[in-house]
Amino acid sequence: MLVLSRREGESIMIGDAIEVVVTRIDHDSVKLGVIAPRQMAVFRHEIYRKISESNRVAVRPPSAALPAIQLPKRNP
Amino acid sequence: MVSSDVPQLSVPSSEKIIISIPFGLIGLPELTRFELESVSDSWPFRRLRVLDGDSVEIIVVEPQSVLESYPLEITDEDAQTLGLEDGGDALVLSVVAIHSMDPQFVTMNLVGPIVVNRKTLLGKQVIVEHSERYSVAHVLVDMRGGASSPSEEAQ
Repeated sequence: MLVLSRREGESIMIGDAIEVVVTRIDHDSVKLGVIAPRQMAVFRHEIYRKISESNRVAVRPPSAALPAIQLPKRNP
Repeated sequence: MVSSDVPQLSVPSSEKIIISIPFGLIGLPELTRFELESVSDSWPFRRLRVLDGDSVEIIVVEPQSVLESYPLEITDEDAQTLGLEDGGDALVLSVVAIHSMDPQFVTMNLVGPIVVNRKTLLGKQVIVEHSERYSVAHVLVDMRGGASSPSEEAQ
């Protein structure tokens, strides 16, 4: 892993298109700003992990059976 | 007579609803083109069939049709990407995970819904604003037999 020291207000470039700026440093947290092309999604890692796991679980064979659920409709 | 080229997604239709999600789903970037079942034979579920590659599908639910309170907020960047000017143009689909046929083990992802512009059928899986208030595995039916409320999880 590449490790770089940066101060508040300094940044790093990832390739030509992605810039990560250290915007603020507190005791135990760092605020980062990310400038990236629109197609590059930026996530907190734990959210990325949870959603990609949940998506993988959701992929199923076509036309498989569905549970019968009784729920009132909110917007009929 | 007023006609509209906006797909009336709540009305049975023989038209195919082809949704394009150019960046793919999160963690599954290869899944970019889908056909949404126009009418569901098993409400609240709708099938979202993957059109390219493997023959697979994802089950989705329109969260606002089953939840008391899910005031969807997305970032301005995502709204811009989708060309959404009016919230009414957004079709919101939560990805459903069916862990078992017992409804207690059916969950929906309220943190990362697929948002689709009904006019263009362009979609993106987004992270909602205030995502800490919601669960990626929100149980669809709670113990009392009704729709569970997303806000209960924040407490």
